[in-house]
Amino acid sequence: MYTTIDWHIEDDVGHLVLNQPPTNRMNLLFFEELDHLTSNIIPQSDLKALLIYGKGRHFSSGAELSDIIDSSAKESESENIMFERLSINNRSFLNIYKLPIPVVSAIKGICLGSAFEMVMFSHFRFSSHEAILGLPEVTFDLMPGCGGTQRLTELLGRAKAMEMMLSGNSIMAEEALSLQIVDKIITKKELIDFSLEFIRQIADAYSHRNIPFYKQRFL
Amino acid sequence: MKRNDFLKMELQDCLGIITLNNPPQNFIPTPDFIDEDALVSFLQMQEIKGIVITGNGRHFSAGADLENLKSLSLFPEELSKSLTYGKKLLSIIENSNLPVVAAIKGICFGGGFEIALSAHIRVCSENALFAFPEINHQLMPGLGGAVKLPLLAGVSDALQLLLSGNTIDAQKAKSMHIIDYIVPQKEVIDFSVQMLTQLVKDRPRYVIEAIVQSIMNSGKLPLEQALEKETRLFCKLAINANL
Repeated sequence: MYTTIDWHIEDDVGHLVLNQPPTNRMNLLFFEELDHLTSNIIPQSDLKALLIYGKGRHFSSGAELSDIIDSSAKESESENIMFERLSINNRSFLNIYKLPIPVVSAIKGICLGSAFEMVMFSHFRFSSHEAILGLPEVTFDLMPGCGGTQRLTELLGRAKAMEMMLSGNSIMAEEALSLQIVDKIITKKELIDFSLEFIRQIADAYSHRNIPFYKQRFL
Repeated sequence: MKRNDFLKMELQDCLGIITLNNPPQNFIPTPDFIDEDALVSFLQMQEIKGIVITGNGRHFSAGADLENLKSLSLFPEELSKSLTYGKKLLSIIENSNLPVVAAIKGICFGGGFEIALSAHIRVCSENALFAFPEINHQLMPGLGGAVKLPLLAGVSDALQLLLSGNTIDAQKAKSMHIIDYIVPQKEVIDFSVQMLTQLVKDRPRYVIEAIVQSIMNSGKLPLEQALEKETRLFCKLAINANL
């Protein structure tokens, strides 16, 4: 159904797999397909949980500026076109965040920029030992544009969030765990199985479909 | 002491250094402790990419000058005006869209604590002490301390500090998430200056401002609105970066 996403349902769990290995770059088509999936398909699927991961060695390297800038448009229009595109990305991330079922991201390898932003909109984050997470936008004289400044601040508090976003430094899984950005570290071979087992254990406890899951405290 | 002597404001490379300058205890003479225009024009200096607030000498600040406060309290309208002005000053610092680090040595009480809470990152010495002693005078913090402390420390710890007037040490303050870094007394300023310089020196001021502004929207605005503002700020930077 999609080119950039492998979407399938197994045992009532939705698998949202970023499917452009090796880097699973989030290009324009990916965000269009993500919008369709999160706006039209997932809300109408009777899922008990959503699991997000990347095909191959990495979660995703994120988006590149060339993917969202329309170089053929005039400067004034170009800014508006970009804003419209990014607003669609925001909508997709919010759709994920507000799902009334648990959303788990399983993170292997690199998870940078928009990819890191996306996993911060999931409810649980499990990562492999060698995972690398970060918001490097500032090193290009940019900033996170799809929720990074909000979600990281909510997760870390102002001080740490400011340090991480102004430095642009990425962090390894261990540090992410100590900062409570990542909830658990699992070997990469067991990451998906662990995530599915976790989902199996908690999903039944959260059958109150009308209460957005993000409003419920769990871990 | 004259009001405009209390804060020493200097440019040091890419940082603005604000020193509470009434040693040894750096008592704050009045709640409206500096002229607003002087503060604003200092913060607007384009060379400045970050702010460090510290105290002259061994202490950060022991808080308000109680004698001045007592005489001021004879004129409730004046007191109220002065406190409103003081809150505005702290809000100007906190919302300057530049990263603000409080470098705290020794005593950090009452109004001094409130000044420290207007920073985004707090570094303190191993021997630093924190308290809101206002309750001992049947008072409460007047410059936003009772509002900001619960946001950092949670309602439970904030209530205990504010109602008891108890003094806590650096470790306890760190465990309450009030303090981000504890370093030896001698290193407090150097550590703060170096850490902040590392964060900002290679960045254009407008990029720093956009990021800090967006971070400050978190918790102030509903998520959807904050996301929209973030995306707007991003687009402005992206158009610039792509030129």
